Amino acid sequence: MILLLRGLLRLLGFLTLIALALLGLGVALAALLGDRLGVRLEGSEVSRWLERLEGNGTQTLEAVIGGGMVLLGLALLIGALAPLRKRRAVLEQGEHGTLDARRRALTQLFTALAERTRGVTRAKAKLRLGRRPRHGRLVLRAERARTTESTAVREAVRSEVGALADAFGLKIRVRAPLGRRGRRVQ
Amino acid sequence: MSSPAQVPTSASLRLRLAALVRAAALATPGVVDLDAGRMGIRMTASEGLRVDGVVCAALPGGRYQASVHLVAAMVALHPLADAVRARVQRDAAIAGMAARLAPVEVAVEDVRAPVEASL
Repeated sequence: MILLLRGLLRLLGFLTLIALALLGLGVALAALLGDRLGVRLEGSEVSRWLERLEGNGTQTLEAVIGGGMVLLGLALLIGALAPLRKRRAVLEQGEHGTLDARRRALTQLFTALAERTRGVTRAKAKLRLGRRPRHGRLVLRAERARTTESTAVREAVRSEVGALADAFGLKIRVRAPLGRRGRRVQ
Repeated sequence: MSSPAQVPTSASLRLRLAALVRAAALATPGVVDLDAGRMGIRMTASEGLRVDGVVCAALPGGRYQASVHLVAAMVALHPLADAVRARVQRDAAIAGMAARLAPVEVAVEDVRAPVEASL
């Protein structure tokens, strides 16, 4: 989401610069050659619109546009200022150096760890890293055999991945639905 | 891609250190490969030579910071990083460059199963 807002910010920034440049050129031309070009505010569409606004107070359309602009401004501010979600999980950071891992690598590790748990037929890990270091959420879906208890499998998976998840400061959530028929138990 | 044997002694210290770190990391059990990234930007280049998977940058005080970007086997990451650092330190001491090397940063870029790794 933040990545999208950053992209939007860059695009709008670029378009705004072009619009400002054209507007500046227009104002300069109007100021320099207004009389010769026949640019006059009195009696123009802009003048009538301003008079209507002053006369009847806020109009619905203008209010919607204004509100939209405020919301857009807020979204752009968030896009500019909010930190991006981390793509790397930091395991250690200190005078001995840093150890970090990419999200994909960690996801594979967690999946492999969960799949080797007894009673699990198939596992899938989803890792969501936080904006701050050592913050994130690990959701594990460990499909189990019919002969196993959901609670037991959840606990077994939790103990299998717990040490690694704790080292990266991840909160764990394990789900253990019944696996499809034909899948082998580990 | 260069190994210490391929990097001439006349090459810059930065490049020689990067090659040493790369060779040491690859010789560590549990390290399958080094990864320069999709765009190949995780590397150290100098004088027409390049060392993939190791970013070596100069620090104030004449030391160098090496970041090694590796593909690990399915092993515990903490002991793996310690083993890589120990191996790098040992090789750097043998080569007489230990004093110029800051603590090594280890980045796990990917994980490969042993079966896949042996292919």
